[in-house]
Amino acid sequence: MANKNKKSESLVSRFTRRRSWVQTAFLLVWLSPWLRLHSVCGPVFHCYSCPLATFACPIGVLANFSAIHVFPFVAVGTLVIFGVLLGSFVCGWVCPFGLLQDMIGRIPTPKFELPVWMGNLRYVVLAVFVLAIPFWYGEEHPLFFCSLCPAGALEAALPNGSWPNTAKTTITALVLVAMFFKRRPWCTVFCPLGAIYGLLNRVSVFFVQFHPELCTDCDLCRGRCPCGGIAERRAGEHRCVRCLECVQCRALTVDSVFQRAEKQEDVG
Amino acid sequence: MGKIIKRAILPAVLLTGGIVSVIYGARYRISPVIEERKVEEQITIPQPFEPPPFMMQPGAFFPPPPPIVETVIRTDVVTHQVPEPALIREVTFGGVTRADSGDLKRTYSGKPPSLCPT
Repeated sequence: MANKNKKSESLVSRFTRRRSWVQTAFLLVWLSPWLRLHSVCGPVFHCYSCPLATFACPIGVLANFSAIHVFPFVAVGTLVIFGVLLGSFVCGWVCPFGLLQDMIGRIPTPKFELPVWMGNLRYVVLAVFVLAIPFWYGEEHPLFFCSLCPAGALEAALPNGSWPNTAKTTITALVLVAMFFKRRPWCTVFCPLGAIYGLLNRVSVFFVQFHPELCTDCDLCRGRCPCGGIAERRAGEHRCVRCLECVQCRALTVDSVFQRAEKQEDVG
Repeated sequence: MGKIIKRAILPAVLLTGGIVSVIYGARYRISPVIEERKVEEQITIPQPFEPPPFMMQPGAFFPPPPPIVETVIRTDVVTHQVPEPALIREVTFGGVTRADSGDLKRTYSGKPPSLCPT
């Protein structure tokens, strides 16, 4: 088992070094000058008004369907399927907005961390701005999520030559500045899609498992983690974007529900 | 083996639920959306005419005055049965809203807008 873990983790470690390439390759899926499938809900955070967007943004669909009081079976089903299969691997490996944050995060500026509890703001954003406000006040309300979304400003408004409203511009500017000084600020603090995938991390087929018996307290995982070096060193929990940077350490492996766990310490 | 089955049950149930939800939404779910279409119509209103009595001689012919032609705008309400994938596409450019009556209403007629209004 230890040998198998060693082999699989070295494969994963090697693969992890190419994560940027994988994220960039997925851009070819989300951005297409020819293909428009806006009747299909995509699994990533990417504005459907982007001139090159292939699919519809799932958060935009949830918010708009909440405004018209129609249950979005397709959007919810899509998110459940991707969430159960992959969890927040989508965030770490596939999402174009995550790629933007990773690219800007590589710029050598001083990096700061925010308190861990701020990760729960994602659920507030999901519950209030994506679901409740559209449901009670409609899509015309200034706090309707799409009227504030920085992805919409960067990917849709500016490429289409229109200037976003003041609130959206301010939020976009703050998030862009934050990207220079904190890794993945949108994902770890505000992203409603990350909130959904994070919840499904606990039940996903593939997950990151921590082996405490192999841990030597080297803090490699905390140093490499873009989510504030999760203090409990419990990779794979709801705030994790599953970038697999921590899997460089042999105490953390990628497993599936079909593998036997030696200990109960699998954490989603 | 029992542990694997236990761990796989919840993901399997959720996955099945997700697949069923997508199939139901894509294949069977239909929502009525009303569209108000403004139609321009020309109507002719005949003008009443009664010749004065002193002109009523046998054999006399008085052509009636030409009718008044008016252009009126009529609002037709058409109900579309829209499947959910089409509804997803419609909301991406703000093409559907909820009317005060609770019905879904199309916000445009004819060519759809190209961008989401937000």
